[in-house]
Amino acid sequence: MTLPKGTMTGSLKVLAPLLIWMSIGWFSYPYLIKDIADAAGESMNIEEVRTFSLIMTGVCLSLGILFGIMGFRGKTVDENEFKRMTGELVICQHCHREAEKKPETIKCQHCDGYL
Amino acid sequence: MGNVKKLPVSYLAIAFGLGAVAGFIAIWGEMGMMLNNFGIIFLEPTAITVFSAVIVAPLVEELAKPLGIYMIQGDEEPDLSLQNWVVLGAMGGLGFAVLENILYASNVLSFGTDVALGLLLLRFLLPLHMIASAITGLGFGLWVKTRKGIYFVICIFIAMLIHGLFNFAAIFVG
Repeated sequence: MTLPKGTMTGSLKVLAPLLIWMSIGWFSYPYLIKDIADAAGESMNIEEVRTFSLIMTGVCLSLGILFGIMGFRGKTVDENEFKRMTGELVICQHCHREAEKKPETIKCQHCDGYL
Repeated sequence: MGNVKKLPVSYLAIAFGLGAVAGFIAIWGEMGMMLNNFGIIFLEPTAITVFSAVIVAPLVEELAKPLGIYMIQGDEEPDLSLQNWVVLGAMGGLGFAVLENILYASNVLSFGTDVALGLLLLRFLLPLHMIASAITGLGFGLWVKTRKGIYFVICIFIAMLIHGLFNFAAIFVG
């Protein structure tokens, strides 16, 4: 089943700020983790952590900006599109089971009787 | 926002609250799975940590966090927009994260309050649970809208994968 155009737009609007928030977290990660490790008396390879954090900051920030552009500038799907796609759920008068009624399929999917 | 309906505050509260409750369920679930696979620790000393963080935790937590949205749909079958389901998923993840972050911070209180607060801040700056649960919420919303469960399966798998990779990085990078 192909999803209607703009299905993901609304979701991207939610994910974009979360990814930008995450990129701030990754940026501050080496500084905060170093303080925590020092206070707890643990040793760590801070250079490796810093490199990884910078990569993750870039990935999250890029995705956040991309999702933001796609989410806030793209067309949002009309929710009625889904209703048109799936049809209406009705109880079949013949077999008394739940069946999907669409303009093009008016027969029950279970017993083939007319809905 | 077009056709986005206003989300009732009660739904947000249910998603958040049950997301936090899911934290306890996940801890029990993870313990159960760990006990079933206890033999793995004899293979490799670090295997238990990796297995727990990279396989067990994402599997159990991603299934448990959207507890609120399962219940909202089961009880009320509301006509929500896809974006609303994503927001509810993220709220479940936030509830879970709040509980988990407080638990982690309280575990390191013996090192000092500044360490605990630093860890709390660090964990709140990385909203992994919200992102993963938002993706699960998207899958759930698509399932409700299209009546095709495969969307939920795909989205929850992506959420588990992101969670697992994040934990893998946390173990091996620091």
